[in-house]
Amino acid sequence: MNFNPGDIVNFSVMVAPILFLLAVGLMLMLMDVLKAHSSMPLIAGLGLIGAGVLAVLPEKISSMQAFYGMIEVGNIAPLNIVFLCLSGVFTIFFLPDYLKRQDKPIYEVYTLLIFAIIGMIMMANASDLLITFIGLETFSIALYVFAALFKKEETSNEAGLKYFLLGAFASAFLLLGISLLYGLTGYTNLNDIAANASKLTDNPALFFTSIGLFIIGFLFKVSAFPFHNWTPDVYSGTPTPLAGFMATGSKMAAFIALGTVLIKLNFTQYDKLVNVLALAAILSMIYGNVVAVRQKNLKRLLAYSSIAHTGYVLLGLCAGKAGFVAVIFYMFIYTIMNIGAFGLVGIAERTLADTDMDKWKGLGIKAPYFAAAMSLFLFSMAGIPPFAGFMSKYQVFIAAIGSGQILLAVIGILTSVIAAFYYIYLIVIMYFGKNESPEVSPRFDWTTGLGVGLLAVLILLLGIFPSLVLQPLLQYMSGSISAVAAAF
Amino acid sequence: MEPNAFMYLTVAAVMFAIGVVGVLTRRNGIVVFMCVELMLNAVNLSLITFSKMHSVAAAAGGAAANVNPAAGSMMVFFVMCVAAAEAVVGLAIVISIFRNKLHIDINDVNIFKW
Amino acid sequence: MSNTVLSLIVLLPLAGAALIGLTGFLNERFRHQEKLIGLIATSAVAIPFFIILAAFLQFTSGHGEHHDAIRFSIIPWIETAGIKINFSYHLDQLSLLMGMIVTGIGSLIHIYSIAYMHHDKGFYKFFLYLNLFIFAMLNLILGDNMAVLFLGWEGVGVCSYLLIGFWYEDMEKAKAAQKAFVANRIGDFAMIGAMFMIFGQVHSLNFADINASAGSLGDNAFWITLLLFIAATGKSAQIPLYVWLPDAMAGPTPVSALIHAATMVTSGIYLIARMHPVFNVPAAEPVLIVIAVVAAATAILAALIAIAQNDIKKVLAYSTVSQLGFMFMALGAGAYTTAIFHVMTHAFFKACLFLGSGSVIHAMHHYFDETHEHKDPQDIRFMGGLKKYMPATGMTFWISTLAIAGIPGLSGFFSKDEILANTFFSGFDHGSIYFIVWLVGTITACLTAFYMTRLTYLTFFGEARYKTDKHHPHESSPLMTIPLWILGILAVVGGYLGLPAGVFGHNAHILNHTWFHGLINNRDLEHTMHEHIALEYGLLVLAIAIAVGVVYFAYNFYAKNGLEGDEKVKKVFGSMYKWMENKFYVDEFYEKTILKPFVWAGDNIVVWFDKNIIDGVINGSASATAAVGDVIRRMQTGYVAHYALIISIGVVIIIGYLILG
Repeated sequence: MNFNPGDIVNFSVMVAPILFLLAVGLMLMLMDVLKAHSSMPLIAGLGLIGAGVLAVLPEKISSMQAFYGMIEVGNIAPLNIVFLCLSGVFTIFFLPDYLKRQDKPIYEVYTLLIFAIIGMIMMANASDLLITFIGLETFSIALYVFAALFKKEETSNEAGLKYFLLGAFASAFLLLGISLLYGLTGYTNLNDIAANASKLTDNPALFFTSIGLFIIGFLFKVSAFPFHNWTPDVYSGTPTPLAGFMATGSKMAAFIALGTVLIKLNFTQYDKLVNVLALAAILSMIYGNVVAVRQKNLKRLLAYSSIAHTGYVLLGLCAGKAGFVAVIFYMFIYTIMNIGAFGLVGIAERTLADTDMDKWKGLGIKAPYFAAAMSLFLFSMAGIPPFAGFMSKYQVFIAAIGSGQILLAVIGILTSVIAAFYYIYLIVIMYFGKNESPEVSPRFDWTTGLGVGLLAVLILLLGIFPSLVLQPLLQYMSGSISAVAAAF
Repeated sequence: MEPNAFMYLTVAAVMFAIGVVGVLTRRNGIVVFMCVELMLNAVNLSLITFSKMHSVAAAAGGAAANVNPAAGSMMVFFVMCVAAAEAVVGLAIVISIFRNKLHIDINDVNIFKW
Repeated sequence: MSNTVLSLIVLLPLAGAALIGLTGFLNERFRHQEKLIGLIATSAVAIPFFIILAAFLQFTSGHGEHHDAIRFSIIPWIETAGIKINFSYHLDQLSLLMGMIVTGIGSLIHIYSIAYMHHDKGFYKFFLYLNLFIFAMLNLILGDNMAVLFLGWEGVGVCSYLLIGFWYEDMEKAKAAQKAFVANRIGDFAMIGAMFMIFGQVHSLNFADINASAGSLGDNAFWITLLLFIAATGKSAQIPLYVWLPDAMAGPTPVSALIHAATMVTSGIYLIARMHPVFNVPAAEPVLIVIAVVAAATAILAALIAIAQNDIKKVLAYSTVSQLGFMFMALGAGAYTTAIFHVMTHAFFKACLFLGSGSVIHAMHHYFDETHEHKDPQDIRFMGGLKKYMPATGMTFWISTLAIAGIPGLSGFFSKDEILANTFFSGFDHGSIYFIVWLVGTITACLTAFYMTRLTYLTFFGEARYKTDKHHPHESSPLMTIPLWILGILAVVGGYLGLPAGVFGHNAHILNHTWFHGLINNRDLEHTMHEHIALEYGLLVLAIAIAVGVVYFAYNFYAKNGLEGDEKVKKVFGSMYKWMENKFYVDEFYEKTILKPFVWAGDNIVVWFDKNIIDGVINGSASATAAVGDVIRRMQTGYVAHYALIISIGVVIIIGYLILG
């Protein structure tokens, strides 16, 4: 590995989307100082879209690393960048309206959002555990700030503190796992570790400890049972659209990173690791869905539902390589519908000054578009055809069945019945609940309206034409993971 | 007795355990955070130890030389940076709680439950 | 032609609907830009027509005998290893013909509607639905697999529902829409059943695959074809599901012309013609007989009802049901191309008749408004002598009447004669029941000539049965009469595409022998026809005699008797006339035997079951889940230290399991 100054230029071109986002982030900081506040959301959104375009613009490359094996730029990496950037774009639609709630609007969020997405991209596309860790911490720190954004509100303080302490606690375990893996193999580079896989099995106890701790670190990030505790509390205190972002973007990045590492290590040959994931999946599905039934607060309800969704994605992850496309597809669909749902809750929260479910009674008549959009997202989350949520669930179930995890799939289907109960209960409340006191009803301004419209169209479109996303996913993955097609 | 790799790793393990117990038992937010830092530093110690072990092995040559001794040391620097950045955010959160409550007892931060 | 250009055939109507719908939804002022809306909507249908026409010219030139279908696809839809369904379309002989009918007549009706729907407050919605309908219909007839066809099948159903109930403030009209929806649903279930069976057997929904492996279906072909026929009875209004079509006339008249006469109702015939290899399997032979018998019964029943109706649109509606019966008779005789031929000629003259009736209703409506009379503008008893005031409408209506009656030289003559000849000759080889079918068909042809002449005479000829001193009805605007003329001319010349074999030598039948050659194989009757060539000419003479004779008789009969003529007809039919007037009490019969018991069962058994069993189980499991949820959410104590403890326990358990387990 000889250093050649020209490499820096080459590598910079290869990671152009990240550098571009970095420039956008710095520009946003500058704009904040120069008080050019009003156009910050626009610049942030356009920057994210630009980064996405930059990512898919070059010819598809099979698998290639920049910076001496540190970061993957080929294979599925460009699509990861697009998906993560899109999660940011979707969030931005709801931010300006929600932040008006503060007397003094906070503009740092846009900068932080960009940096968080840089972190996510780095983590998702890392091919070195060092980058995985740095990326994870980069976006985690941004998310801690998001949680504690409204510093005068005790709820926000609490969310920030809980997320921060537990997040740091969990990343210490993750780091210990990385350290042990390094001790075992002598490498932090994933490809090197994979190449020296024989060293792993020399010392099974150490190997399982290290990889177990690594998995635990990520299970915390994706809020899988029993590392889910922080989720409801943090989401409740976090500004609502940002909670939606936390539940989607960071989870997507974490799932991709975890999946990449596990698949590189060919984890499906170790039954124990699959069992751990399967158990986490089952418990997450059951716990998330069962507890969500008793929630009255919409943000907590969505938080528990997000624990359940984590379970479904883990179910796909258990299928190994064959399920990886389903995992990414599920997370992307979940991103669309969940940001939509959180966004709508945020809009309602601003007008109704509460996220209590009872306040939503009769919204079906008072705010028909609002209620229709929410119903669409809820139906989709419940996995009812023809909405995209059905297709994503279908894909993970098929992947699980294809890899012989019949029990997992059965539990998944049973728990999604419970899920349908509380999602549809909310729709019933909106349309059939008697509204005692006439109050103001939530309204869209043009950004939120545009955002909701876009997400709703996507849900319908991808529900009918899932190939629009599945096809590119399979194409970008082909070569490395060709077994997928056969699984369906 | 010459200190060997095993002893360093033992120290790291003990430090990590102390950190975990501290997080579980202490009520002061800052102390809890310090315990997390302790855990991170325990990992740092282990990383350095592994790095040293691998560099010795690499120098010895043979099959065990197939390692990257620098990676561990490099990692430590980044972990320290990350820990510093975390400290900034963490302390800011703690301060904002202190401003509202005039104390930072984490057991009193308990609005959200169930 | 490139894939992109061909895709426009399907995409333009959708784009038109989207443009009109979205702009109309968002912009109040746009809704009143009637000319702009009309222009957008019409071009969204007319441009596809010209593309199909160009494809037609490309298709006919060059290739000579062997025609390969022109194929294009838009996007993949469902693609997995087991099943692969794309939005892919094909333009072969059948699809080209149907495509030209749908977009051609569709364009004319769009133009007509601009004038007809003038000042309606739902103007933009009307065109939105019309464009959407064309989109769905094109999916139905151009799709190269059953899934796309089914999508179109459902789509046209929805559009038809929306358009029948277009004036939904009127409860009757909303109910009519509902009736159509329910009747169509029954057919759809049969369709889904057929699709599942086919997929189970063939493992593909592509028409090419299905038709290629029709022979291997064996006895399953019987059930598949039966289900397909039931599906067709729903959409194409045959016994027992025809009841929705007459009620569907509640929609605006252009809709009746487009959807409920020319295009959508013929989709059942298209379906069977498209999948005819499955019907040609020996096991499906009984189904063909069933089709022929049901068709004959439908044809004569509807024709009898039509004689006793006084609502101009109702007469045309029953006439449509009756003519659809003729088409199914052809299918039942295995003469698939003949059925398609009649679909085409019928589309011309029936669309013309409906648009003509629309023109009349429009005029009468204005007239009654001006004279402040509260009379039904659709009742022919208040009309008469309209030819004087509405020459274009009267002329085209009369031409189309002669065409449907089967006057020689006009389009209806050729197609109807071919149907009757085919049923008759099927009697020799495929069971003498076809002779009965032929007889019923011939009687129906007499009745058709009679009631259509009656309708035309009472509307356009004779004395005016309204005051003409101050006001009189006016001819409609050119926007309405030009489409009438075009359709009228087509009703005259459309038949020459399918001159009967034997008139100018055997290869004169353009449709059978040249156009559909190699694509659709009728059940072979050539041989039988050759044997009985004299009979063939005999039938031809008989058909001419019936048509000319009955029209001449009916014209003179009503010219002599005027409205009193109906009284005489009443005497001829005796007590049956009351049944005819009341549509054989079929609606009442359905209500008593099907609706009432269902409502009763719904009120009693189902409600009890629902309350006690279903609710019990659901509430029980729901409250059990909730109770569990209440307990386990207690682990969410809210203390950071507890959370950290749970995490640590999780770590210990997982690592412990991994090391020791």
